[in-house]
This record gives sequence, C-alpha cells and structure tokens, in this order.
Amino acid sequence: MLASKGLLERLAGFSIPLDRLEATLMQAGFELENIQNFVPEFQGVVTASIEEIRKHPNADRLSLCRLRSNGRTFDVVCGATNIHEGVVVPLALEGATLQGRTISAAKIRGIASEGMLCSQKELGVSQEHEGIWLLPKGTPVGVPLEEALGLPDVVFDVSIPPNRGDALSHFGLLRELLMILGEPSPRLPVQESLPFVGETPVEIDLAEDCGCTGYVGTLLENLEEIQTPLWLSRLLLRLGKRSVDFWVDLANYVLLEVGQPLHTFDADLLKGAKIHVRSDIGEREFRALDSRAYKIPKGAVWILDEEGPVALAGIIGGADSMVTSSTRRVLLEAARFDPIRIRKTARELRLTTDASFRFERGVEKELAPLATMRFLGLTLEECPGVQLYRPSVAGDFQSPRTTVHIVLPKVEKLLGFPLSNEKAFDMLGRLGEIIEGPESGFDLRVASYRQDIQRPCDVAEEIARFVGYGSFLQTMPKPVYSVAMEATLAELPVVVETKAYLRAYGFCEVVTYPFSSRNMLEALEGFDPFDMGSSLMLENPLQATDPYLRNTLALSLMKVLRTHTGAAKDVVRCFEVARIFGRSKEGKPSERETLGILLKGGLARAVWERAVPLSPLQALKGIAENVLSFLCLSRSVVRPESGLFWEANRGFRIEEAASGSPVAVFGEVSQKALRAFDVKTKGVYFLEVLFPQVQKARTTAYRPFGRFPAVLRDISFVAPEQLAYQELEDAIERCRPELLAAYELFDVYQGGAIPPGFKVYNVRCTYQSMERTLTDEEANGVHFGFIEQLTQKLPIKLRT
Amino acid sequence: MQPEAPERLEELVARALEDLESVKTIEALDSLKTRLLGRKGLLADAFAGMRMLPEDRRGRFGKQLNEAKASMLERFEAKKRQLETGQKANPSSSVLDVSLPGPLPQVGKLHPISQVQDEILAIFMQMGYSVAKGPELEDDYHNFEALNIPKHHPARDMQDTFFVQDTGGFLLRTHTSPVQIRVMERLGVPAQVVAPGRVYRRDLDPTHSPMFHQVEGLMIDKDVSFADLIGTLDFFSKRFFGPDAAVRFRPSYFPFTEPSAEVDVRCIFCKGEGCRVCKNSGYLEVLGCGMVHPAVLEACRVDPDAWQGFAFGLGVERLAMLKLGIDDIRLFYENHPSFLAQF
Repeated sequence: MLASKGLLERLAGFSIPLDRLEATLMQAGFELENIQNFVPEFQGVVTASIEEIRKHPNADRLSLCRLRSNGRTFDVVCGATNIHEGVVVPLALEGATLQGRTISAAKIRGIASEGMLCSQKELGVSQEHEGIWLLPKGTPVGVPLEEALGLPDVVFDVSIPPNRGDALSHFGLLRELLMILGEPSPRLPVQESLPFVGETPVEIDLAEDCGCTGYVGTLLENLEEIQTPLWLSRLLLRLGKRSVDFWVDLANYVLLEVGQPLHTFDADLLKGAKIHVRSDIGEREFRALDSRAYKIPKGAVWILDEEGPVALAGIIGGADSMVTSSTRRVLLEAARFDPIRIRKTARELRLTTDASFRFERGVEKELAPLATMRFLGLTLEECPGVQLYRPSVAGDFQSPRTTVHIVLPKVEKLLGFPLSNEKAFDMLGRLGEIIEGPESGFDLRVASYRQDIQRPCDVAEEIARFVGYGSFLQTMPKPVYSVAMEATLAELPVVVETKAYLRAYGFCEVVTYPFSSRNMLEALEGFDPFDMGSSLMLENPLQATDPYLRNTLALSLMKVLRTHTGAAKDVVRCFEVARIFGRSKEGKPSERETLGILLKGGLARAVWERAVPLSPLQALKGIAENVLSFLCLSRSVVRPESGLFWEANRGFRIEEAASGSPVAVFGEVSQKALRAFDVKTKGVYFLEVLFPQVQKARTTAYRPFGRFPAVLRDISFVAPEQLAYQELEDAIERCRPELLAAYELFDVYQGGAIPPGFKVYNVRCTYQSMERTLTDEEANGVHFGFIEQLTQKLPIKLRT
Repeated sequence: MQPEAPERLEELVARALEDLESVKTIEALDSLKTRLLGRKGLLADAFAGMRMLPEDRRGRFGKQLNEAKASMLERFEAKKRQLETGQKANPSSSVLDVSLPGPLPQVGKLHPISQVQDEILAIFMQMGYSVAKGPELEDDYHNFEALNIPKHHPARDMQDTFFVQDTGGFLLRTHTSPVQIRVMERLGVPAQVVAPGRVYRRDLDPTHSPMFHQVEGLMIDKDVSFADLIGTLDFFSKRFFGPDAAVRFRPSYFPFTEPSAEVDVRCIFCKGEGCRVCKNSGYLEVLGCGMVHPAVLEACRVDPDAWQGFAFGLGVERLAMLKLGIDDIRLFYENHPSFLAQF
C-alpha cells in the first residue's frame, strides 16, 4: 500500500520525523518496500487568477495578462493561447526558479513582464507542455504553488500483512503506528452532524444469505459539475491513482483515508427506488465501468436495481450506472461484503480492484456509516449547494468483540521473556480493555478492528512487538535427541554418497526445472523407464508450452545438453538427483527420486587412464552398478531395452533379480531423439537410476581375511562369441574352489590370432589359504582342477 | 702411507672438493667419504702424521686439520641432501618446471545450490537436528489447510501456486513447511528436524524462479521459546555469514507461526552503508520464522497447551546468491558449464 506522509500527519495533527516513521513501521512488522520523495522542482511560484487579457501591441502571437495574487496585480507577457479570464494559473515571480532556471523581470517586445505563467512541464510536475497549466476551479489564489499541490511529501510503499485489513488505509496505518509509539489513538475525521434535507428515498433489500451484512445507501442531489481540487488530484497521483472525476476521486480518497470502499451510482440511471443485494444469480455477462465485458460466475454477490444488476458487489461497478461529469444526482454505496465470496469471484475473474483487495482482507464492520459521513462532509466542503439525504440503512454494523484469556506466565514461557504485570497491562491496554479475572490471569476484550487477535499467541506477538524484537534475550534450546526420529528420517546418506562419487568421477551436478512440453514428451517416444504412467499436467503452467511434469530426468537433462554443446564443449558429463512424476494405475499422482547422468565424450581420463578408453556404455554400467551398491540392492540382471529413445541394440536396463522391477536404464541416445531436442551431436549416453522409497539400513560386518601369501594364476579362455561373461561368471561361482579367494576379469578381446567367431576372456585368480602358505604344487592342483570343471561346464577351451 | 706434510693439506682439501663435485650417487658419495674421512682415511693419516711434527708447529697444524675436517663434513652433508632430493647443484639446469600445473584428476563439481544447502544442513545437524524429506507433489491439506491457511484466505496470494490437473487438488508444494506437518503426523513430538527440498511458485524474474530450494526447520518441545528461536537463528547466521554478521529480527506475518519474524543480516556487500543489493536499507532479508501456531499443532494432534516450539524457512538460493555474489537467480538453472565450473 502506498502511504503519504503528508496525509498521515494531517490525520495525526502533528508531524512525525521520517526516521521515526521508518523505525516504527519496522517495529510494527510492516515492511517498507520503497520510499519516494516528492519535492517541488520550483520555488517562488504562486497561484494567481487572470483578471484581464489584452493583445500585445507589438506582437501578434503574444498577449498581455493582468493577474491578481496576494492582493496585488502583476502584468505578464504570455505566448500561450489556452488561457482565459477568470482561471487560476501558476505564476513564477521575479527571482523564482524553475528546475534550476531563475526567472527575472524582462521587457518582451518593449513591454515589461513581471513574471511568467508556467506549463506543467516547466514546473517539472508532468511532461505536459501544451499551454499554461490551468488550475482547477476553487484553487485558492495567492498561495505558494507547492502548498496548493501538497508538496513536499514522502510516499511509502508499505507491505501490509494479509491478516491486517484494518491497516489498509492511512487512518488504520496511523492508528497502528501511534499504538506502537504508545500515543493515543487518532480520531476518525468524521463530521458528527450534517444538514440533511430528508430521508434517502431508496429502500435497501438484503436477500437472505446474500453475502452482504450491512448496506448504507445515500442520495446526493443538486450537484453541479465539480473539478477535483488540486490537492486531491495531486495526492491521488502520488498514491498511484489517476484522477478521473470528482465523484470517483472523492470515493477513492475516502477509501485511502479510512479504508472503506465506496461506490457512486448516477442515481438518474438507476431504475426504481429500491436496491437489492442478491447472490442467487447464475452466470452472466456484465459490462463493467472499465468498459470491459466480464463473464461473472455463479455465486457472485450482485447489486441490482428494479431491472437488474448494476454492480458486482465489492469488486467493480457497472458501465450503465456510472457517474460522469454530467451526473446531477448520486447514490452513494457503503457496504460490508463477505470476504470469502468477494475473493472467490475476484479470483475466478482474475480481477483485483482496490475494493476487492480490501474486502478480501476484511473491512471493519463499523466503518460503512462513518465513511458515508466522511464522504458527505467532504462533498459539502467542495460543493456547498449540494442537498444531502439521510442515509438509508439495511443490516447491521455491530462488530463482535473477541475476548482472549491471558495467563501471563504462559505468555512468558512462549516468549522466553520475563514480564512485569504493570508493563504487560500498559501494553495490552492499547489493544482493548483488560478485565481482571480470578487469580489465573485476566481477560482482554480486544478492540473491534483487531480481528486478527484471537488467541493468547496473538497477544504474545503484540507484546513482542511492543517490546521490540531487537531487545529479546537470545537463548539456545536444549536439543531433542530422538533415536526414533534419526532412524526414521535418515535417508539422505545415499544421495550424499552418490553425489560425492560422481563428483570424483568428473561429473558436474546440474539443477533443472521439471517442466516439459508435449513435443519433448513425443520426442522421447513414450520413454518411461520406471513405469510412472501417464504424465501429470499443470493447470496453470508458467509457460503454456510447458505444462507437463517430467516422468524421467532425460526430459530435463537433454535440455542441459543443448546448453552444454552450445558452449562448444565436446565433453558433457553432468548429473542430477531429482524427482520425477507420474500417475499410478489407480490414477493417484506419484513421484520418485532418481539419478540422471548424461555422458558425451567418455569419462574423465585422469581417473580412467587406460590405453584404450572404456566404451561409454561399459562406463555407465559400471557407474550404475556402483550406485546400486550404495543402495544395497540384492542381485540384479541386465536386459536389453527396446524403445525408440535408444539407438538400436544400445539400450539396457537393470532389474532387481527377485522382483524383475527396473532399477536403472542406460544406453546410447538415438539420433532421432537428439534431433528432436535440437542437439546437433552424437555419441550421447544416458543413465537413470531409481532410488528406493525406503532405503535399507546398511550393515557391514567384519570378515576374517587371509594373512598368508596369495598365489596368482591367470587363465585365458577361448569362448564362442555368443557366450556372455555372465555365463562364465555363473559357472565360476558354481565351481568355485574354497581356496579361490578372488577372481577378476582383466581383458576381453577378439581378432588377431583368435579364429573368427571366438573371443578370449582373461581372468586372474587369487588363491589363498587362511591357515598356511600355499605351495605352488597345492595352488596348481586346485587351479587346474578348477579349469577342468569350467571347461566341462561351458563350451570353452584353455588358450594355449 | 707417508704422513702428510702440513704444506700439502691445502692440496689435499682441493682435490677432495673436486672429487666431491663429480660425485653422482649416494653410494659414490659414501665411498668418497670413507676414503677421506673414514677411520683409515686420508685425514686420519694426517692426524697420525701430526705427531711427527715439532712441538711448536703441532698446535697450529692440528687446528688447521680440525677446521678442514669440519668444513668437509659440512660439504658432504650438503651434497647428500642434494642427491637425496634429486636436485642439481645448479638450479638453471633443473629438469622439472614446478610452475607447470600438476596433472590432477578431473574432479567434477557439485552445484552451488547443493554446496550451500549442505553447509546449511551441517550447521543445523551440529545443533542436533535430524534431516527429513517430504513430497514435492502435495495435497492442499498439507500445503495449506494444516498450516492454518484455509481455502479463500488472502494469505494464499502470498504464494502463487502450480496446480496439477485431474488429481483432486494436488499441487507442487509452495514451501517446505508441509514437511513440518508430515514429521509431526508420523513421529509426533518432541521434534527437531530440518527439511531441505525443492519448492515451486509461479514466478520468474531476476530474483524469482518457478522452482527454488528451501530448508525448513522445526523444533517442538515442552518449553522451546521465542528467545530460543532468536538465539538459534543468530547462531546460524553467524556460522553461515561469519562471526561479524549483524542479525536483525523484525515482526512479520505467516499464517502458520505466531509470533512471526523475518530475519535480516547486515548487508555483506556494503557492510550496512546502503547499496544497490540491499536497496539502500543496509540489511538483507534472509529468512522467515516464528513460533508454531497452535492451530498447526492441533492439526497434527499435538496439544498446544503442553507443547510449543518454533519453525523457520530458509531460501537456499537467496543465501547462495548473497554468499557467492550472484545477482541473477536464473544462472542457477541455466547450468552453463562455465558457471558450474566456478564453484
């Protein structure tokens, strides 16, 4: 909310230093977003009325003006053509400065000019430079212009919390500031009595459960065309409001001053002598005073005359009954509407107005009749000929008052701050009346405008604010050590370990948005490695093209690939640990955490220093197996994975052997998919590992190890090309002699001396006894027996 | 061997130094040392020969011999150190250019958000907090209702929400606060947890991203007070920003805490003088916090008359931007390799 220092001070009746205002706003918890200084860019300019205009004797385009200001006359030469006798204009006198330029008396074409009439641009108040600034009728003559404009002023942009609708006005804000300062509350600037000419001849009919609990309708007649006074139009401008016409401007002013939204109807355009408030009207079109047509949903609160809707209650008035400069009779509306209904309708229309913003946050119940009187009083000042009718009232404006029972030691316990009774009473007295009760505390009857204070903790916050958060003790709580909590919540280590592992292997972590487009989904050809089901879609995506939530990290990482290859890197090694989303077969939304890796250009060489680089597929499989080992998964098997996301025969998935459910996929991304993501490169590999929803506790138990020297024996097997290493490994496990402490595949190759259709597996065997040093003969005996068994089990031969 | 005449001592020393200069290995050095300084070495012979000299010359020659021995021992030690460290006597003939970069393994990088988040978590874990996680797809109840933000409450405007179609009101969580609810539902009280995670709001500009990271904190016990909250976050801020960090608490509003506070640290760029980053206020807003609202405890079936405590929510990006001097939040999600490589 924008707040004018000038208006705050006018309501307070005294001036408040700027730094004190800033500090008090902060202590109140109303964040100061911005401060704007309005200082006049001129000096020595007064308001003057033009008494006479004559032609300049020596120049066709100039005129001679005689002006009156401060009881004397001034003769000024002027070139503008928009002036006429009787208007009030800004007159820069000799010695005045306009944006740094000093005005001196001069002879213009032989005639002395005692000053200069100014345009808005010359005064630095706007960019308007056509003609002299004609000040509104009624502008006082002979006063310094800055005074007439309400300058200097400071405008604060204050953020008012959503539960403090009572502070959404200058009066409410001032009341809050004075309360924090310990000063007495300000008084609402309302005339107690006004000269009414009769009763407002309009009946107000509130339908049952119509969303309106109180309505004040007041007729004003015998109106003439009034120009908005200068101080008001300038104040509204500083507060971010365009000056429209007197009635709209005045209603806006009362809203900004006391916080009650008002609406003015042209009474001559209303049909019949009855106003209805109803909320049982179906969906319908409505042309509002912003001249836009809205489709208003069912359940909205409506103001109707005898023929139909004239205003959308609490949000915006209708075009057909709006006031204009020719309005001669006004019906003023001040009402209280249900915050929730106003909010629902405004949300559906995506329309927030000053009125709806305040009704949603709760306008004080007692305010409508008071704001009506304020509006009428101001009208009378500006338009003495007006005839005012006594307001016609329906509903009630009584506000229920909350009583909160306070037990001081409990408040102290919550705040961790000792309080004396006297101090507490002094502070709480500013919030309402204290009713001393039996020994255990007292009751606080909270002032009606503080609807946000409902419970003792709300009162505790008030006390904390009065004390000032800065003067609090700082203590440390005693930690809560809960083994149960630690055990149930410990699910992070695997992520930490995985990240550290990948970092060591040269991968960079990235962070991506989960949003995706239909095109991207289609480019992946239904790729859904972990059966997340149909994609979830946002109702209100940030970008209309990206409404889907990813079901695989491939969707996000492929976009990163574009950034990285765009940066002319032929190497991409990145990963992300994040959530993927989908919908289960039962239709429930679900999410899982996965690790996604994108690899192009192989692993970092310093880590994998080999003469022949490892194929990226093998490398990814190794990484997958390592990460899966962090997860303590039981045995897994690798299967080929079909699907157009992968290059033919280059996609694989790892399944948990027992359940057959996928735990990881890896492979080479197809050219087609890369093209769809607009990536002009190839040799891109992707791995995704699914993290379990519940991580198994990792248990490691010590096993005794051999301390006697080991004997190494290498075996070279010639095997048919189709024989997978898995088969060899299975056979080794089945035939494994007790003395075989470890074995390791250390080379696989084909070609050269090896006949076509065959390949060689080189395996290193480590033999070791737990009890003694093995002799060569002992080791050889076991070794050759082992080879014998293997060659019987499998179609393999020892290479000789 | 004939005893050495004192006149020949200088010659002996000069020859020994020549030999020492040409020595290339520790073994050769050792044998030269034995030949010269050993029990039956040349110098020992000279000492033996000293006895043949007339009484009056003996003292002077003995002194000369002792000096020659000490200086030679020193030179041998120096030569030995040289040979052991593999350095040549003449630095200009050095083989290894130590200014060349060492062939380090190409280690990757963790994203700056991860690094800062880990740092935050470590500080709280040191204070005894456990780490919890919660879903990013939340229901309206956990994200709003249970946190004392009923439907049609204007406080919902504080967080522009992404809703998921055809899911009966599921949404992308707008804050990590629903983890408070889930922790208390699952484990009850007392509780002391931090919950890191991604959150989503419909917003995009240099300081707002539709997805960002928060760390939520929750501590509930019999008598955890507002003063404890202030002490805890003051400690955190000083650990995170350094012992000189000045921390300021001011009232704020969150529906799920009462009293509520916003925490500012003195601008780390201008030290409170006022600059562009802090909008001349001298302070930077870093987190929101407060005492858990009794309505929230009630929603978790916790008796607010028996239990009380605090909650806070840190914006990880915000803290990372301040700590690393990053001025556009979008850099985090662009993942440019030259950006990632910096941290």
